Amino acid sequence: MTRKKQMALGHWIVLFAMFGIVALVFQQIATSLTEQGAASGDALYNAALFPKWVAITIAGLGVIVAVQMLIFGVPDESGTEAPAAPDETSDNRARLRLQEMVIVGLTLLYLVMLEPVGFHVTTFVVIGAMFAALDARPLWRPLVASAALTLIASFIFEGLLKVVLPVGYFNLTPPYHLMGL
Amino acid sequence: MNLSVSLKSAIVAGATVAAMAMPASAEYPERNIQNIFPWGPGSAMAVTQIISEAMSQELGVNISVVSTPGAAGVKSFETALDKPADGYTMIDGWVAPLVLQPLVGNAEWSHKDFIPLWSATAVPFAIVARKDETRWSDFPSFIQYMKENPGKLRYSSGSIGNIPHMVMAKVMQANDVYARNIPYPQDGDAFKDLRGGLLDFTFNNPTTYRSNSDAFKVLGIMTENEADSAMFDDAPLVGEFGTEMGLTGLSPTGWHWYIVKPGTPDDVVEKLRTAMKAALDRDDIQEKLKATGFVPTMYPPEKYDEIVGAVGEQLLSAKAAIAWEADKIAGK
Amino acid sequence: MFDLLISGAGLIASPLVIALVALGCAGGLLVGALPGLGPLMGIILLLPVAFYLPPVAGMGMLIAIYVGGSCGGAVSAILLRIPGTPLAAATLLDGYPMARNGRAGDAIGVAIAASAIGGMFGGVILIFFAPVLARVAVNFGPPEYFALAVTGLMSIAVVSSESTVKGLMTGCLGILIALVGTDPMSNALRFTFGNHNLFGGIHIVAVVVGLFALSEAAFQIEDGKLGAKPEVLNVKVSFSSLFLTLKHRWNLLRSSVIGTFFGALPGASGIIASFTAYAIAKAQAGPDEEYGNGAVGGVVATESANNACCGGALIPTLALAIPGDAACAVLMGALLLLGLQPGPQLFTLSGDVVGGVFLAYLLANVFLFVLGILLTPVFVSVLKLRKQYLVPTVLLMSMIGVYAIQSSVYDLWFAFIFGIVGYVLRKFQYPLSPIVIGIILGPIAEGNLRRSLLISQDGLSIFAERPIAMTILILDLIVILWAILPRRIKGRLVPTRAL
Repeated sequence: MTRKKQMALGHWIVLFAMFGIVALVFQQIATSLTEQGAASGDALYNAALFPKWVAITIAGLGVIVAVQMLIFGVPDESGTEAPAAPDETSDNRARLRLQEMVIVGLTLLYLVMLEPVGFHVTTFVVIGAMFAALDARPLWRPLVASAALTLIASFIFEGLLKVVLPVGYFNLTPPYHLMGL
Repeated sequence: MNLSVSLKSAIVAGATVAAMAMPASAEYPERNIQNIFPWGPGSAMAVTQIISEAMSQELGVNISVVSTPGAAGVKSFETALDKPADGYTMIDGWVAPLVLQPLVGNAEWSHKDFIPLWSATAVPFAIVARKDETRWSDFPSFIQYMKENPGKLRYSSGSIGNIPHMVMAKVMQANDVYARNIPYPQDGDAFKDLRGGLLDFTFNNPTTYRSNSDAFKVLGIMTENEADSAMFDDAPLVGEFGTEMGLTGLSPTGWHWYIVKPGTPDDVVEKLRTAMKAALDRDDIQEKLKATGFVPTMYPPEKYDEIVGAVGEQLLSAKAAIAWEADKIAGK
Repeated sequence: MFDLLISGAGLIASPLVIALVALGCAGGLLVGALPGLGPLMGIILLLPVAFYLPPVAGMGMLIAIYVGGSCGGAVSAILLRIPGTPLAAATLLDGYPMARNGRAGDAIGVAIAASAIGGMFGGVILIFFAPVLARVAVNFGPPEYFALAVTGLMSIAVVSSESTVKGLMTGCLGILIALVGTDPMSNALRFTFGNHNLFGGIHIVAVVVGLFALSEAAFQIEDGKLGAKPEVLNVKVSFSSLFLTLKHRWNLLRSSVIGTFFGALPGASGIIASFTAYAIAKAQAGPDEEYGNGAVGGVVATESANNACCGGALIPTLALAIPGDAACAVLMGALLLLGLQPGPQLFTLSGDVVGGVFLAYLLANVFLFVLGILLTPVFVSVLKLRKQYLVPTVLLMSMIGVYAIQSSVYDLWFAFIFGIVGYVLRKFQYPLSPIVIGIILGPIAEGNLRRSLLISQDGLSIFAERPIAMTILILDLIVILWAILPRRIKGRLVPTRAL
C-alpha cells in the first residue's frame, strides 16, 4: 500500500471513530442514562438532551467531512503540521518509528511503576532508559542525566512545592524537612 | 570526553544514589504528609489549610492540602483510599462523602470504616432573601407567602441533594410548603442571581452572609444552637417560629472530621491525634477559624461513632424531605 | 478611589512586600511554564506561607503568582508547542510558528510585554470601575451566560480556519469530554461506564497535557535529528519586543477589554478570553498578517487577553465575594484568613488593604515585564538541549505536573490516552485547540441553558424576556448568517477592502 493510500485509509478510520463516538453517546443514553431516569423529564432531570444534540452535531459535521473527502479526495500531507521527517531516509524513518514506540512503551511503564515502586527509582530508571533509547551515548551520559533530572524534579516538586509524590515500596525520599524546606 | 568530566559525573551520580538511599529514620513522620480535600478551592479549603499548617508545626513536616473535587466529594475518598495506610495521607472527611453519599448509595463505605482523628469544624446554615424584598418581611410572612404560592418560588442550596438542600427541604416540609431548587455549580453564582433577582431565596453560611450582608437579610437560622445567632447578625433560629426540623446536633450543619485510612498503625494515629488536638487548642487557630465562619467542634476521637452515627440516622429523614419536595414539584 | 491608593501605598512601600511580589512573580512564571502546574496550583501550594505575613505582603505574593502563572504558560507554548497551562492553548497558534521561524526571543518578549500591558489594563479597570462592573456582572444570569457561551463556541470557527468543519467536530468532542462524570444538575452519572475514576470527570489539565505535550513528544521523535545540536541563535536581553507589541496597539487595547470583560464575569475564564480575542484579532487582521504562521498580533491578542482577565477576575472576587475563577477562590480564602471580608464592605472597611492589593497587582505586572524580559534568554536556552534529552525531560515534567494536581495516577492514564487521541487527530488534520474551548464552554452552555429553563418554567421565553441575553443571541445569529453568506453577496454589501 502506498503512503498516500495509507493516509486515505487513516482519514476514513478517524472519521468512522467520530461516528463511533456518536453511536456510543446514543448507546449510553439508551442504557445507562435511561436506567438512572436521566434521559427524560424537565431540564433538571434530563441529562441526555444536551449530549444528544452535541452528538447529532458531530454526526452532521462528519457527513460534511465525508462528502468533502468523496468529492475532493483526502487532504494532502502538505497541510499536516509536522510532515514526518522530510529529510530522513526511509531506513531512518523506520528506526525513528521504532524509537517512538519504545518511548510510548516506556511512558506506559512509568505509569505502571510510579505508585508501587515510587517516584525516585521509577524516574531514574525509566527516564534514563528513554535517554538511552533516543541514542544518548556513551551510556554514562543518560545515567548521569537521569540522576540529575530526578534530583532536580524532586527538589522542585517535593522540596519547593511540597507536593507529596509516591514513595513506593522502597520508601525513598530526600528528607527535605530536615533541610529547612 | 576527557577523564575529569567523566569523573565529575561519576561523583555526581554517586552522590545522587547516596542521597536517595539515605536510611530512613524509624520515627514517624519522616516526610511530608498530604491531606485530601473533597471540594474545590474556597473558604472551606482555607480552613483545612489553617488546621493542616498548625498540625505540620507540631509534626515538623509539611502537610499539603490536595483538592480533588468531583462526584459530591466521593472522588477525594477514592483518591485517598488508593494510597497506602501509612499516615502520610489524611482525609478531610466532610459529611457529604463520609455519611451522605454512602446513604444515597453512591459510595460503598460507612463512617465506621475509617479511623477518626479529632473533629474539625462545623458550619451553620441560614435561609436568606434580599433586603429590599417586599413580598415578605420575616420568616412567618415568608412561609405564609409560600403557602399562598405553592411551588412558585425559586431558591438554591448550591447543588441538589447536598446538606443545605436537605436542611432547607426539611424546614419547608415542617411548614408544609415547597419551592423549586435551582442547582448551581458554584455557590457564589447562586448568591449573585439572588442579588440580581432571578432567585427568591438561598442558603448562606456565616462567611457568605457576611460578604453579602449589604444586600441579604437572614430569615431564619437552621440549627438548634443559639450561639449560631451571633454569626448571622443576631438573626432568629427557625425554631423560634415553631419549626420542628427534627435535625439536632451536627445534623443540620456542614461539618468535617479528619480521618485516616483503616490499617494505619496505632502509634501513627496517636501522633496525628496529639498533633491535631494541639493545633486546635491554639487560641490563634480558634480565632482564625471563627473569623472564617467555621466553628471548631472539638469532639474527641472516642465520640466519633456516637456523633456521626446519629447524624446518619437523621439525614435519612432529611433525604425523605427532598423526595417529598420533588413529588410536590412534580404535582403528585 | 485615589485615597484608597494613597493609603495603600503606605502599606506596599516596604522592602518585604516588594521582594515578595518579585519572588511570587518569578515563581509564578516557573509554575506556569512547567506543563501541568498553573497559577492555581502555585497559589494553593504557597498559601500556607501567606498566613504568617502582613495582609498586603501575603496577598501581594499570591497575586504575583497569579499574574506570573497566567503568563508563564506562554513560554512553553511558544518554545515547545506545549501550553504550560490551558490558558496558553491559544498562544501556541502563532507563538510556536514564530519560534520555528527563528523568532523565539521575540515571541516570548511579545508574550511577556502583552501580558504585562494587558494585566495593567485589567488592573486600572479593577481600580477605577470595580464596584460599577460588579453591578453589571450581577445582571448576567444563566440566560446571559448561555448566550455568551454560544458566542465563545463560535470562535472555534475562526481559530480552526484551516478546517472549520473539523474544528467544530473537535470542539463538540471537547464538550462531550467535559460532560463525562457526575451531571451537576441531576447528579446522574454520564459516560462513566461504571468506572469510579470517571465519576468526578476528567481533569482539563490531564486532557491538555495529553493532547499537546505527549503528542508533541511523538512528533518530535518522528521529526528525527535526535542527537543533533540544535542551531539556536543566542538571544540577548532586549526590550525591543515592547515596541513590537505596541505596534499592535488597537489589538492590544481590544484584547485587554475582552479579557477584562470575561474576567469580570465569574466562571467565564481566561481561556475563553484569549480564544475570543484571538478570533477577533484574526478576523480584523490585514491580508499581509499571516495568522497561524507566526503573526505577532496573534500572540499579542491571546496574552494580553488572558492576563487582563486576572485583573478582571479580581473584580467580582473583591467587590462581590464571588470568585472570578478557581485561582481567585483561593485568593478569597486567603483574604478571609488574613482577617478581611471580601464583598461590598471590603472597600469601606479595609480601604487601605484594598489599595495595597491594587498596587501590588500593578507592581506584579511591572515585575512580570522586567523579570520576563530578563529571563527570556534563559527560557530560550531550553531549545539548546538536544532532542534526545529534551523529549524525556518534557515528558517527565508533564507527568509529575499532572500527578501533582490531584495526587492521582488515574489523571496520568487519562493524559496518556489523550496523548494518543491528540497524536491521531493532529496526524489527520483535526485542530486540537477547539477541544480546549469545548471543555471550558460545554458545561457553561449546558448548565446555564438548563438553569435558564428551570428558572423560566416556560421554555425558551426567558431568553426573550432578558434584553442582554436576547441582544447577544441576535448578534451571534447575525455573525453566523454573515459567515455562511456567499462571498458574492457580501462583496455587494461591503466594499472588498473591508473583507
